[in-house]
Amino acid sequence: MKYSIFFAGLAVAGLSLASCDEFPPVKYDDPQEERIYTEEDFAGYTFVSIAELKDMYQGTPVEIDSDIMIAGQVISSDQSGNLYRTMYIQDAAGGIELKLGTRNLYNEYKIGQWVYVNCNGLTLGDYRGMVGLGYRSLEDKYETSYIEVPELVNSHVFKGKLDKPIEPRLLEESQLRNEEFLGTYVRIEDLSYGNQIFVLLYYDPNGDREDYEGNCLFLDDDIHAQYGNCGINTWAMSETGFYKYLDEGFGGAVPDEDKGRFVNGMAYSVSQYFKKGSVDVEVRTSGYARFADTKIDQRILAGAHVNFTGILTRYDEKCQFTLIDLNGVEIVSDNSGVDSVTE
Amino acid sequence: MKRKLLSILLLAVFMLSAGALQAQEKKNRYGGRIEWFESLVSEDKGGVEGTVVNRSGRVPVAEAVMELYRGDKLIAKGYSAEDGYFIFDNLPNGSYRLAVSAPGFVGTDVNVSVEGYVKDLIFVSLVSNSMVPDFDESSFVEFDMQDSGYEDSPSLLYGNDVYSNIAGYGFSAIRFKNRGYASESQDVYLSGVRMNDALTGYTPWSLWSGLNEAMRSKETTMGTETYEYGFGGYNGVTNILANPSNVRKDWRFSVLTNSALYRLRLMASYASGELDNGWSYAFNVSARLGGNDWVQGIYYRSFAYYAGVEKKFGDMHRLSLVAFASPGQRGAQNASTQEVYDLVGDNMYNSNWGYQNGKLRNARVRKTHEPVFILKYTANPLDNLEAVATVTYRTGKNGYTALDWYDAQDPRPDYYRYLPSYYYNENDDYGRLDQEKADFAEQAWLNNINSTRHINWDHLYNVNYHNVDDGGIYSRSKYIIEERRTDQNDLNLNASVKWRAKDWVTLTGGINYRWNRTEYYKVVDDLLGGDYYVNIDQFAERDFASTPAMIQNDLDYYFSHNNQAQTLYKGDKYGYDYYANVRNAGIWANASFEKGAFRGYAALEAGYSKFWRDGRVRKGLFAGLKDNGEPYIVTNASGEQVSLTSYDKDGNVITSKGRSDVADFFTYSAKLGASWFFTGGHRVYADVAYLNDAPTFNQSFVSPRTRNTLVPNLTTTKTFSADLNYTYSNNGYDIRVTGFWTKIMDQTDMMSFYDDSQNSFTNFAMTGIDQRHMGIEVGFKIPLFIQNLALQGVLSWGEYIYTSTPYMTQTVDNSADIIIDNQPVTYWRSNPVYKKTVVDGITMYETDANGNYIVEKEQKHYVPSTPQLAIDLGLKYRTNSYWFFEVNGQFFANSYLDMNPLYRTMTAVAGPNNAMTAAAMEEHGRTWFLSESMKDQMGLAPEEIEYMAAQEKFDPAFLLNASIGKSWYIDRKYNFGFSLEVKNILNNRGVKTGGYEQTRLIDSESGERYYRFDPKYFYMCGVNYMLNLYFRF
Repeated sequence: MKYSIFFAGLAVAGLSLASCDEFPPVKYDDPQEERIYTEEDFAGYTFVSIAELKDMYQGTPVEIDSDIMIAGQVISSDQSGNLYRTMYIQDAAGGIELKLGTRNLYNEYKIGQWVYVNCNGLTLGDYRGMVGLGYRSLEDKYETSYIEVPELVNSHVFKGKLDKPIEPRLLEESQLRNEEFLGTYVRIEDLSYGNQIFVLLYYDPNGDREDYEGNCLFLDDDIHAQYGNCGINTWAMSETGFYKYLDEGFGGAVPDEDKGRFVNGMAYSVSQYFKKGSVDVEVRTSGYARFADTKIDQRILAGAHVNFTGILTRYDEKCQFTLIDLNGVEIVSDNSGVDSVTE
Repeated sequence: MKRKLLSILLLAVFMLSAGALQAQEKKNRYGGRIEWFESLVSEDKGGVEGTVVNRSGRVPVAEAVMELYRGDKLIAKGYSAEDGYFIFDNLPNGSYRLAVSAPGFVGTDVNVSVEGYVKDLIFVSLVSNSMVPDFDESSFVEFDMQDSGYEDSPSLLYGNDVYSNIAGYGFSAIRFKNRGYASESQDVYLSGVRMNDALTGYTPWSLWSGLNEAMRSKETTMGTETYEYGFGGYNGVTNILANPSNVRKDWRFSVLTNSALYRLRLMASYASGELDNGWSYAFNVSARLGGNDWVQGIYYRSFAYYAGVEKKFGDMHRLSLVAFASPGQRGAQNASTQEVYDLVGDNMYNSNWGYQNGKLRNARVRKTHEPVFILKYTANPLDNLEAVATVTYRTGKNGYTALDWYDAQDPRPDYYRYLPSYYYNENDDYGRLDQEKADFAEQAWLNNINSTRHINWDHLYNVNYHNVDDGGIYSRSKYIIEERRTDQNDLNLNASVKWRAKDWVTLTGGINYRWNRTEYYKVVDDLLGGDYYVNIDQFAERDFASTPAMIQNDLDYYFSHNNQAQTLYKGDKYGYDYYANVRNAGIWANASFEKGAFRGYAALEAGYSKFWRDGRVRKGLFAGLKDNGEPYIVTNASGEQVSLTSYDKDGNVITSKGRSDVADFFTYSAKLGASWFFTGGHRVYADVAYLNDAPTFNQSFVSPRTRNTLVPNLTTTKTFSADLNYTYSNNGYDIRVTGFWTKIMDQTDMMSFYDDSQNSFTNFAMTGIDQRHMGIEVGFKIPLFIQNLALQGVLSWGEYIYTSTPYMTQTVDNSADIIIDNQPVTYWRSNPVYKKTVVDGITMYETDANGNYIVEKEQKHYVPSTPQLAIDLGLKYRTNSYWFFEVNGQFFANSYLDMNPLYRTMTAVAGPNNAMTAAAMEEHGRTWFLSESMKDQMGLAPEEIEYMAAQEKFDPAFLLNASIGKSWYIDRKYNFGFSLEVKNILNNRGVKTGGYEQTRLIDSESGERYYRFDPKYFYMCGVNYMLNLYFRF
């Protein structure tokens, strides 16, 4: 009996210790800063410039199978929502789009932060004239896909130190189609509103957004171009914005009898045309951007000249410009004669 | 004066003499009804006498069997007389145990100390079998096992009823629901006051978990039977006798360890019993600590305390005061998809935790401290009259932590975009074609690369560190821990009276009133390395970013602080904050009759319930009207005037702040029951009940976090229930067979969860849900050829199905839009199965001559999350030296997954190409008519119906359990013992205990149909043990 009680006491003591060990701490210590990578961490890799990497693309997708490494500073942010699942980095020689494929990248990669990309296993490909780095695509219509798998991203993209953000390069009209500036952080000055848009609206009677035959409406085609900006005086349109414009018939471009064809509303990207000298610059904004339904300043619509700061891109042969947020829009000469819109 | 005094004295002497003569006459009349098994040679003239009565009304019980033991030895056996009287005299001094039993009653043991005179016990009360007491047993080894607190939420409480005794504890691991009823249908009383949660109806076990000693004494009724302190429902009543005088006397210490829930429980209790001066007091404390062997992240750091004092004033009054609580915290488990379980190789995987600085941290922790106070007064002004008045008050905090994040990647490790299935599915129509990416994701999971399987706390902190403001000083947290609080103030007043009007009729009745105000809100629990958070609705921000006022969680703050959103720090309230106000009142009466072998009762109840929401903050999305009745108008970023005031489809203002409309309900219920006792221990009885219950607060608002809008078409739930029972109890045999039939109509249900396709919380309100539950219950205990060896088992076999087509309304928190407006949930009750043939693996649906698909059968849909067939069969053996052995096998089958209503709508089944006309929908919903043209032109295909509407049935399961126990007496004063139970000995790790379907749809590549998201499951743990050591004196 005595032994029983002794062993019982021993068991209680042992279990007490075991259970205390299984306690989570009452208070947790703050973790350390995560590792910051430097070039020294990639000693066995071949560093190339971003321009050299892009030069490897010769019209067909390139699956990189050697330990090529690029290093660049982050020049974009998806915080405003105008960029989605993608990021641009830039070095001294050029810039490139990284199709990372995850959302809210701005929390992970800060503007100015150095990023090291192990290109081995990634694919260099083109989309409408823009060469970017992603993963190989299984779809014929795309040359690259998003990297997106967390493990793939983590094993190819490494965060370096935070550095001073890159200053935008001021481009002249003659430089807007220059390959070397594509995907870089630039500033274009003295543009004027073109009163023209590019929007693709889907009727979508059967949910098939890929079928362009009779299922969609190009608001810049021969029929609709006469309606100017088709009443779209915001940078883009959210789903709510779309229904508002639909009610208004898109400035007359969509007659009442056609309105019923739009079965499912959605957010739409809008490219607003601006003129830099003789060059049309498409300023593309996403319907999912937080500023999608923000009206374009009346002075701009009325002719005031603007400067844009953002990423220079290309859509086929068109010069395209990607705003990071509305801070990249600056009115420089108010010759419109209208009052500004206060936010 | 002297003469008067003399008269009184003479009268007293006469009365005493008459009393003595009467007593002597009783004794004389009783003589010869005792059989002695041992000749007791004694000069002592002691003994014991008394009257056996029914506790309900003190009606004498004749022919009660009384067995008198000294130690373990049976000394004598006797029977009570017609008036219930008995006497054992000429006993030597010493301690005896008197075991009293009678057909239709639960047996009881009385410990008697004989000290040279005949001790008059006055009354030995027996409790009717229909009301099962659950109190101290002389051999309590197995009792310890049952009431160990091993399972925190027993599926039903167990008493001495042979069925519930086995099913109550033995089936709890599978989450068995008695007769398939929802757990909130089980009424739990504390000292005679109904304690079911005022807002949800749930039984609040957690209020007293860890206080097993103090809450050990219980009385239980089954099914629709009434209870003497309340009317009850259709799923039994359990009354916990929490008074100090009901706590087991003396000291008791116990240590319990188990591998399925927590590592260690330490418990101590003491009860004085009733002292000579009428006082009783008791206390009970415990600590439950540590984790377990099966689920990582689950841990307990829970404590419990109980203190009570009671005073008996004379024979008439009794007053008690009790306070208790179970403060502490425990980590919670999460359900995951089978894909995740397979990747991890463990069905007990828990996605709620990760490592922080190398230490395990769970994001979901329940933190509670809710003290309960009970003041109870009992009066017995007459022998045949008892009145009870009780006040209970519950207060304190009840919190549940969770991760919250703003505009950042989903931190949950098993988020669907992080899984291989997001990249590849062998069905091309999913559009998930990338096997290579799926392989990468799979490898990350298989090898836990970068802690893929767990929350990466260190990274969340780092994201917060670096989200520095423009000033470069403070960082705004992107990830925080929130604590969702449900803080109740619950006051119950209860009064009841019991009057034995005649020998054959007892009347009971009572009134009750409940006042409840519960505050729902969130607080910032941990900023995870950041400096502050912001009180905005990020889900609204997506759609209304250009109107900052609209995304404010606290619009009044925003306006009063120069249009600045509120900055939040640790401990600040945010998100939502509202009161749920509930008021319930009821009155009930019960008449029970007892005449010869017949017993019966009739009971009535009427009640009034009302509740309303009272918003404490004004949300930008649902601002309502200003005090002057004007709408809120603001200017957005584009300079346009935007109204923050929104209206429902009927033109009523939708508001988040202030009082909602009051929902009120008048309810009424009735019960009848009758039983007949046959000689030889047979009894047949039946009950029937019609009940009318108000919906609960939590079922009644479309989105209580954001607005005051009530679910449309709210009504009371109507229940009709009947049962027929046979019991046999004699010579150690104990058998019960029950058949039951219950129809529950007009139920309401409310589901709410985060839907990232809507980028918001989405809410499903379903009304008009009907269910039918019918089945049989069998419980038996049969003594075998070896003394103290018994074969025992239970069978629960039923069919619990849905019988109506309910209506559903879907809303989202970030918009006043109604996503689905009162649409029939066509395939909720059942779905059609069309005739088909399979040729070379290809399924072809057959049509008749008119091109219409042929309905082969209608597949019923079942009430989920409980086996509809449950069997337990075991052997139980007890030795006279207090050893105890038990082994039992269990079989469970016909268990189903909880359905979500979205998948049972025609919208989901018909797919994105849905072109169903109203007439076609109506006809299909009524007759299952489906033609080829409907398939081709309207998008409704037979294979899609069968795929989308089908309900998953779980595999059957077999479990083997065993237990052993022993207790020792030391110097007849100290008692030490242990019990050890090993459950699921075969280590069956594939037993699903529940789960739910996710409420999201995958668009097909073809654009013609939807696919489901994978469901999430909970599993039972494998082999596990529970060891209990106790010491009492």
